[in-house]
Amino acid sequence: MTAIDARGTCSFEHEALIYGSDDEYVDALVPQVVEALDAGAAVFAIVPRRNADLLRSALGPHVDRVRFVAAEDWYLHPHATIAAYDAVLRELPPAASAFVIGEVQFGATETDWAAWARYEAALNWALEPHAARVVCPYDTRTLAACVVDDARRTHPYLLDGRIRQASDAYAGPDAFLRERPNEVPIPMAPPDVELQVVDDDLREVRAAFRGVAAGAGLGPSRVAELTLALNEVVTNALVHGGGAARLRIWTTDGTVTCVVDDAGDGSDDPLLGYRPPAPEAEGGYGLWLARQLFHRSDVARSVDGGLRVVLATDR
Amino acid sequence: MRASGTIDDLSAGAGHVCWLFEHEQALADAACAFLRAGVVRGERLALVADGTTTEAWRHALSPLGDLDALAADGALLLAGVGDVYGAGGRFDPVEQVGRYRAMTAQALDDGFAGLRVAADATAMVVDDALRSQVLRYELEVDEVTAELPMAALCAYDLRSVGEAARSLCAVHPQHRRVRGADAGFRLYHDGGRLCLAGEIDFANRRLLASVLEAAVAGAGRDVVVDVGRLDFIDAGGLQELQQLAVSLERDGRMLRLAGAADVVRRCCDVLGLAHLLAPDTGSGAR
Repeated sequence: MTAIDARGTCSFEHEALIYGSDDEYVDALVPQVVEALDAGAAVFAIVPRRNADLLRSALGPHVDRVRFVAAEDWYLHPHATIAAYDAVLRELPPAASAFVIGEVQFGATETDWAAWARYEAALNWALEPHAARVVCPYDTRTLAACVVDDARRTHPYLLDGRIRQASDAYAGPDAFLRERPNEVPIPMAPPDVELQVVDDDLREVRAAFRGVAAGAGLGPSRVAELTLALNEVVTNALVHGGGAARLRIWTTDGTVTCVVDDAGDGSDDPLLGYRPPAPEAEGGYGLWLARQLFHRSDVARSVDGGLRVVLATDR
Repeated sequence: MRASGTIDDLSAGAGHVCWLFEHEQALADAACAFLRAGVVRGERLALVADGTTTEAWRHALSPLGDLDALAADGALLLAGVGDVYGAGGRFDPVEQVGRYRAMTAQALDDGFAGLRVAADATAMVVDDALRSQVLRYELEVDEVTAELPMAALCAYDLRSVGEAARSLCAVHPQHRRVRGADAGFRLYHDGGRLCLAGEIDFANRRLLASVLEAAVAGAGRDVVVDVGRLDFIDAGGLQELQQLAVSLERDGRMLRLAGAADVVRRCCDVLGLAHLLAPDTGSGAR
């Protein structure tokens, strides 16, 4: 059991460190690491390999007490990364806290940058139950200016050298996600599969998806994962979304897209599925699972006012 | 690997079948088809049903051969329902399972290839005292049919079983295809393990938990379910199994899942249920 279960003053802190040189990087972070270690925190450095070497050289005797993880291996998929953080933080002993240097790998395309920016915004809510302080270094030498600007909007605090200052431009997760909606594209062509699901017969849904996915060239293990994810979303629709769902599945250019529209009251909460349900809650894992298993996901209001979940996977 | 799923043709020599029937003629025809497979194989036949000496039954069973000669040779044993499923507490499931084991051994000693039983087991569902034990009994009979050369056709009158139809079919590797009677999953023994096959989702996950609970009730030992043959299980299904595990723990028993596919492992990780998975010896990966 971790601090997450000890309701009370759980403090999640999220700061951006905007830096332009190796010296700035080391000078800002090493004292924070030492301070955190002295305070008994579990310290993680999830940074690119090159930066890990910089930190290791500068940490001296403290190096063995820091857990290093290569950022290139950690930041693969925004929702999977949130889940990985959540899992690591849950494993801390009770009353323990964590200090994390988490250097997001933004990827090559603007679409990737946008996805990780949404991740940074959502993190403020997604990891809020944990007693952890996450510092995100942003390298002005390699990141686009817009990515660095977003850091000021997605982090409530900025680390300037050794000084922590509130970020005036901080938007909050809800506001930022509304400003930058995801919008997984829904193909214009008629879907390969269209089903009205009203009874409990999810077997038909699974069989239909498996057929399309296998036809699109997805391997059996991947098909199994995605079938689970889609099944969860459709189950949600039946249980919480008015007992009926319209499912459409497309396969276009190597991408499989699923859209589930339910008959319920819908939601305007852009953060649905960004956090696992509380341990005491029954169920509630559907969207949390689906968002991790599909490459891209979107939750919005459908044309009829119900919940629309869009899920997409590339090969 | 044992055949699992629905079955229409009993002549192929199936091992343990749940046969829901609508009227006595259907029961007689099914019993005959099932037992006939045993004639070909040199198995000792046993039939548990009422009225088997009537003309209608004798006619239905005539494909087996000279019934009187078979009986005289000890190749065909006949018993009434009351002889086996004695009403009012005379039926002891543990004793009956032991009796089947002994009968199978005796058949082998007597030069037969095994024992093949067709039984009208409706009394087990109709009798208040027996109904709570029927799932456990069936699973224990199943263990015998998996281990020894014994085959059993468990026939139940559809008009009497009502809601229990799905549960009854669920504790047999094979069952007759009857509308509304398919639980979507099957629990049976194979390769020395208790296996779960089929697909588990919102429609049947509660049923799975209740069937499994009843089937292992009072057995007093840990339960390991091989889930390598499951084609699908959702998060809710795993959570139902977790609830059952918690309940068994109160009796000092463990419930573990073996042979889980990668997707099941991943789902357990996400749900915080990794402890439900047995440390695997590497089977079932897919």
